[in-house]
Amino acid sequence: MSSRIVSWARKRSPWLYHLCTGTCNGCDIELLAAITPKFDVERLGCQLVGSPRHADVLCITGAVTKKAKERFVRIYNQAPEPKVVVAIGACALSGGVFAGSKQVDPGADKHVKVDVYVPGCPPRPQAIIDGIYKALEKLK
Amino acid sequence: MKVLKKALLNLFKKPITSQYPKIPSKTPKGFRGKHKIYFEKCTGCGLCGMLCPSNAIKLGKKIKKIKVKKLEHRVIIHPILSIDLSKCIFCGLCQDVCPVNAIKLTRKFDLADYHKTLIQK
Repeated sequence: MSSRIVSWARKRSPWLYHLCTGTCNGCDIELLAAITPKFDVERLGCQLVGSPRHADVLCITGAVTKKAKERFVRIYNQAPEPKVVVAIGACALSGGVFAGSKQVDPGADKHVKVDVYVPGCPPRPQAIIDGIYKALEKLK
Repeated sequence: MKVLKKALLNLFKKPITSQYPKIPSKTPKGFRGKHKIYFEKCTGCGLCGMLCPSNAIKLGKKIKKIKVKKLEHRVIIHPILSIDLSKCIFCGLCQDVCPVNAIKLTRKFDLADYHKTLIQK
């Protein structure tokens, strides 16, 4: 019974952590626009937090550069279970235009388990809200 | 006094927040979203795959026989097989370059999914 209440409450109050692994800042700007009052992802109960130790939803943007790779896996392991990972933008999904460069190791799903993929370069704020909304159905 | 008037007027206005997941949002004209491919129109020139900046378009290889004045010629054509949405950057170059309008970008934008999406026949 208590676990059901906890999972119900968790679904209605997910905390976001925004992790940039070497973007051009396009997806970052769109993700921040999704938090502003015009689009307002906080309607779903989300809140942006500053530490991965508080987070339920990890939003990953950017092709994973070689320097960010080690830190990325470390931050993923710091987030408590249960957690969902949302990969935002073409770079986080497969490298996008940076695929094939020797400075990046593209594809966030190569390093951690990714739950929701949001394609686009960059995706619209509504598309990001849609991705987070679909991620909440996996959060149990 | 001006500020007070504006504040009072704002009390009766609708909130500007878009209620997106409940109410579908409109996209502007010319928005580049999900592709629509007309496979039967494709002539296999291979221009879209050559031009694609992120190599999202996968082309096949086929041998086509053409008859010109009783002589049979064999021509290699490259028909479009699939578009990988996880690689695509939605620049719209494939739509612009296609001579027979076999690729069209629609205004669909909510493409988030639990797996990497691939558009194919």
